[in-house]
Amino acid sequence: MVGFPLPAITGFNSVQANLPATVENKGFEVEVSSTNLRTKTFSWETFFNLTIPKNELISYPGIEQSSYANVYKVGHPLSISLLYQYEGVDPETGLYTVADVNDDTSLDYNDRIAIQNMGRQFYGGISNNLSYKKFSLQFLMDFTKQKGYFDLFEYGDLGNQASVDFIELEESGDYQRISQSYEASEAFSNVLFSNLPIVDASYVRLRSLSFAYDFPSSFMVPIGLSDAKIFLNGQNLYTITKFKGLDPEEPNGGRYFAGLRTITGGIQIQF
Amino acid sequence: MKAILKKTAVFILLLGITSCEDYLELDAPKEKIESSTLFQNDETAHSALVGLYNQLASVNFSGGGPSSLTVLNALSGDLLMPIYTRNQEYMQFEQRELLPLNFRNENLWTSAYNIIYITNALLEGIEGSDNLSEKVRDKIQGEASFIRAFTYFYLVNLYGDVPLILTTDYRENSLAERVPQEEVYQQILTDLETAISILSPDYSNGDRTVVNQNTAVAMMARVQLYLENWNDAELYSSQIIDQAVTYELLEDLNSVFLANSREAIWQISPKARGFSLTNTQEGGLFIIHPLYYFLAQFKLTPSFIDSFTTEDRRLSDWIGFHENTSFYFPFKYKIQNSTEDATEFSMVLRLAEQYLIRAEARARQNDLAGAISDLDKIRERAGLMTISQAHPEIGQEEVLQIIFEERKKELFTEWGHRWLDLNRTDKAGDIFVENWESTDVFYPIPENERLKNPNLTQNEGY
Repeated sequence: MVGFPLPAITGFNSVQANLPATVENKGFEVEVSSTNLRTKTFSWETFFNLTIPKNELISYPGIEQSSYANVYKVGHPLSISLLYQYEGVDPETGLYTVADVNDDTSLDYNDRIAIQNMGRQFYGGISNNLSYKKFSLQFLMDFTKQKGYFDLFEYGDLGNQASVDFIELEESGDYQRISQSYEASEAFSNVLFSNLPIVDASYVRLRSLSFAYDFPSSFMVPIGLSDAKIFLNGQNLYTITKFKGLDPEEPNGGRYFAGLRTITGGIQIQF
Repeated sequence: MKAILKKTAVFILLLGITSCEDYLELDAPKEKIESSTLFQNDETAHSALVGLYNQLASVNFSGGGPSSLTVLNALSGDLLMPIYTRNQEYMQFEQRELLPLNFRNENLWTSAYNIIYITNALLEGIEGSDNLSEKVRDKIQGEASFIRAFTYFYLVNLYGDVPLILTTDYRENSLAERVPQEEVYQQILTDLETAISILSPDYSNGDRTVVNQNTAVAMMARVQLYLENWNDAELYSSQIIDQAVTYELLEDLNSVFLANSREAIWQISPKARGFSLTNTQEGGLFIIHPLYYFLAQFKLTPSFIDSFTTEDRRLSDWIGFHENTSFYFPFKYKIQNSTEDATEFSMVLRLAEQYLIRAEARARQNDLAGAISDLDKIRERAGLMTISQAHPEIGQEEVLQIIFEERKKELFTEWGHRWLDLNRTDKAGDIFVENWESTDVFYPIPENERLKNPNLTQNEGY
């Protein structure tokens, strides 16, 4: 049961319906944990997990005569985007060009043949626990390999632009110049639906790190405490990514982000 | 072990007895009415009809707001221009270079078909019910048929061939193909004839906001003009003009657009939107406030202002001027913002258009004296020298040219007249020399609609 999209000529935007589609979800998952070192004073454990998901539309009888005809393709995941094939900046006009596949001089969904999987190719995480005497250190890193849509793409748009984009526009010939002409705004609006703004949005993120020190009992007993601990926790501390959008965790456009960097510290005392 | 088996067996047995059907059948929510009960008595059926009028006042297509036909066609028709050129969606209309992705074009299309859906639901509803009084049934059938014809008239003029949806079955309609314009016009004529034959000529609640027989006759005159059936256009427009008891050209231009003005044949009341604001959306959008002028979106084009002669009272009464910015704006509606009782209604059909229809129909039939007499009614009221005084000897072509100009000056920023006139007379190419292509007469079919309906083809040139 999904909200099946309807063209507005029916009077509605969507209808709740069962679809005749068969979708297969399979995947490969690994989890490894190892104790790398264990001595009296020092221990080091590592946990690792990896998932390679696979989602595929196996069959959909009558998809060509449905409102999903230009959204899903049999044999591909549900997370695809259908895009124009970007063909570079026209050296004569200086405008972006995309492929008019059927040569009918008009660009529409029939020309959107570049199938781009926007789903995650694989993802996972590594977590390490280290302890040395009364010190302990834990950290978790996760990683995802995926493509993303660069929502802030505005090279050549008629309007305000980020200053970094201006510098890039000046220095590189890869982008269309800003122009008031109708052709330029048409070319720009087409390129937004091409595979040009599709970029690598893979990332490795230091998700959490915590550091703690347990005070020794020899120190506490004289001052009447039973247990004391001092700790420092951090979340979303560092991200390695080539993605220039706001957050690689939100790779499909949208101007929001998932995790703020958070650092907390504290002392825990028990009497 | 045995016990477990027994329990399992009982459980399986239970599964066999009950089916989920009983669980899924819920009563209708209390605040909603099913369409089958809606048409079981006069009162609820009539309230559904009122809902259609409320929708007309609210949706983009007919509401007079930022994505309304009135605004978008005035941009394309070289009457109105956006003050801020960075507003790409408006600029595309003004430059007549629309992209299929333009969301205002999509709003227009979507909301027009929303109106069509409601009329179809009403017509189907009375069809399937035998508990309605004849009076209510006729009223619904006539008014809904009229509004469906009215909406298709604009769809066929804006987009050419369009899907002709006459039922509410989404399974069928979601794949509907475009049908030739002639077929759409045939349906428009059928619906208008229905409305004319069963509606009464009175305004049932006293307001000129309810469709009646005259509304349908006036629309019929226009449709016949567009179909170039000159004789019929003349006959139908005469039917309206002859009713001097009900309709007259008001001497005072500033009273023409008042609620229930005697020039009005059909108006849409802003009250039907159901908000506390009672100004027309046109007034709210067009008027440039003396202080908050930076909120204004549109101004009239210099070429349109220049086409008036200084003695033309329409220039002084229907066009406003903002001192600081030197912008001209449409000032047919005088109220920009009000929560008092509504004193202005949004004009859809009025008597002046009927005079211009008859003038054109007569001129086409070479009845130049008749044409000039109708044309002079409009010119006289505008404070202009009449043609019969100034140029009594002019020929057919010149009369038609003057009618074409008068239509622009009389009917500007009302329901797309200028844009439709340019296209039906093939004059757009003469007037918009720069980057005009013959395919620009039609707007593109919205891309998102084509995405969802694989049978919907695109217009040439997009």
